[in-house]
Amino acid sequence: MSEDLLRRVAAELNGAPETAERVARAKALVEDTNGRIAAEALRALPFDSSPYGFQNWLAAADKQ
Amino acid sequence: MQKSIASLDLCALADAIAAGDITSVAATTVALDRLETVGRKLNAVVRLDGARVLEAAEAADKLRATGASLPPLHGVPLAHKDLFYRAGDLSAGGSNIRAYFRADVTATVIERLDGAGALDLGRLQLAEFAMSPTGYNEYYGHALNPWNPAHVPGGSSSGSGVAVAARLVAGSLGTDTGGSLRHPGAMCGLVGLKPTWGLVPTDGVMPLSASLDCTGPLARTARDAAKLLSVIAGRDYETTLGDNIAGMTIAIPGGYYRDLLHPEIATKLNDAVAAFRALGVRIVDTAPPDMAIINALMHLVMSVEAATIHRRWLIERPGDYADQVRSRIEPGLFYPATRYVEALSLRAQICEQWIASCIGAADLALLPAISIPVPTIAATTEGEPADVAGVIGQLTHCTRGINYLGLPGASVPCGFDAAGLPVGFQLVGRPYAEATILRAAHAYQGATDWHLRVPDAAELN
Repeated sequence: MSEDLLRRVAAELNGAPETAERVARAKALVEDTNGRIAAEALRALPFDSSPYGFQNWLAAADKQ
Repeated sequence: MQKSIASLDLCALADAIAAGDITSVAATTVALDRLETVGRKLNAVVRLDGARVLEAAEAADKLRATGASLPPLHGVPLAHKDLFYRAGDLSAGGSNIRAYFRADVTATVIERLDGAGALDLGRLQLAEFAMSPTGYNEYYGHALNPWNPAHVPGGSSSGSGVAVAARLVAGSLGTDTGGSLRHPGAMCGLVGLKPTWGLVPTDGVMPLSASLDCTGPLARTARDAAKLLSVIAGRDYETTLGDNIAGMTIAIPGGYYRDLLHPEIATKLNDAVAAFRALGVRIVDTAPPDMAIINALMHLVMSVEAATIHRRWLIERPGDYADQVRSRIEPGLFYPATRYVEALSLRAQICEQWIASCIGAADLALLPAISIPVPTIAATTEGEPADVAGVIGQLTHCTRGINYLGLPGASVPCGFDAAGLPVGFQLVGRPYAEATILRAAHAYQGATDWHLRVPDAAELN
C-alpha cells in the first residue's frame, strides 16, 4: 500500500487535499488494519454473509 | 439544605420529591446553583437554561400537590452530554465547527426523560465530537476530574462524569462509541452503563459511528443506572435488581486483558473478585481470542463511519479540528468499501467467538475498565505525540473492542489508587444482559462503600 495510492484516494476519490498531505502518519495503521481484516475475511467470511447479519443475530438474541 | 439535597442519589431524590419531602423547585435551584459554581470551576458545564427549568419545576410541584399519579422521575433535575438534541437549542458536540448549530429535532431519549417527568437543566462538557477517552477538548478546555483537577475525568462524556461525581446532578446521559461512558465512570468513580447496541435509541444524538454508538446513563449507583435505563430503553430494569447474586458465575478473562494491567489496578480488581466470591459468586478463569483483529475491526468501522460524516468538514474546515481528533478520523478515508462491508459482516461470528472464549458458561465477564491509574491532563496532552498516543491507547485497551462486539458493559467503582483517583472494573455480558450486569453491580455496591465517597471538589465534605 503505497503512500502515493493513499494520497490519491484522499485527494481524488474523497476530495480532501489536506488529508492527502498527512498520509504519512496514517499509512502504517491503515496498512496493518487493512491487511488484518482482508486476511480474516478471506479466512472466515462465509459466502452468504451480510453486513446486516449482526442486527439479525441481535434480534434473535433479544427474542430469547 | 443545599448539602442534604445534593447528597441524595437519583432514586432517593426522586422518592423525596414524589413524597413531598423536597420540592422540585428546591432541588432544581440547588442543582442550578451548584452547576453555576462548582460545575463552572470544573469546566463541566456548556450551558444551562435556568428560567425554563425553574418554570417546569414549579409546574411539577403544582401537579404533585393535586395528588395526580406521578411518573418515575417527576420533577428530578438532570443535565446531559452536549450531544443530545432538543429542538431549537444549540448543540455543538464539543466542537468549534458546530458551535452555532441548532437542532430541529429532539432526541427520543430526551423525549422519554421528559415523559418520565425529568427536568432538563442543560448540557454538559465533552470531548470534541466525542472523540477522546480522556475528555480532551482543545476549544472549550478540559473538564477537570473532581477527585484531582490535574487529572483527566475520562471521556468522551467528561462533563457528565464530573457533574455526577461532584454531586451537581444525580444522573446524566452520555454516549459510548469506544468506552465514552465507561471511561468517565471508571475515572470519576461512577457506574457508566453502555447498553447493548441498538437497545436505546440514538436518533437526535449527534453521531460519531452509527454502528458503534450507544446512549446510556452515568450515575452513582447501579440502582440509579437501572432507573435511568428503564426510562430510556422503555424496559424495566429496577424490579429485577434483587439483593442476592449467590450462584451467579463471573468469568475473569486473562491474556490480553491483563497485558497492560498496572499493579495497583490489579490489586483493586483482585479485591473486587474477592468481594464477589464473598457474595456467593463462582469465579472462573477464561482466555480471550485474538483481540488484535477485534481492535482493527473496531478502528475501521469507527474511522470509516466518522470520516463519512466529517468528510465535508475535512475538505472545507480541516483547520477547525484539534489535530488529536482529526488524526483519529482521517484514516477512515483510506479504506476500500469492501473492507468496511467485511468488517460489518464478520461482526456476529466474532462476537460469538468472544462470548465463547471470555464468558463461556458464566453469566458475565469481569474486565478492567482501564488498565492504568487515571493519567494527568499533562500526560495526555504534552510531550512526544507517540507517548501521548500510547497513553490514550492504554486507556481504551479494555473498552473499545466491546463496542465492535455490541455487548453491554458497565464500569463499577472498586477503590482508589495511591494518588486518590478512582479505580473501576467493567462487567460485560451477552446481548441484552443489562439486568444481569446491574444485578451484580448492585449486589457489589451493597457490600462495598466506594460509591459513597465524595470528592473534596464537590464542596460537600
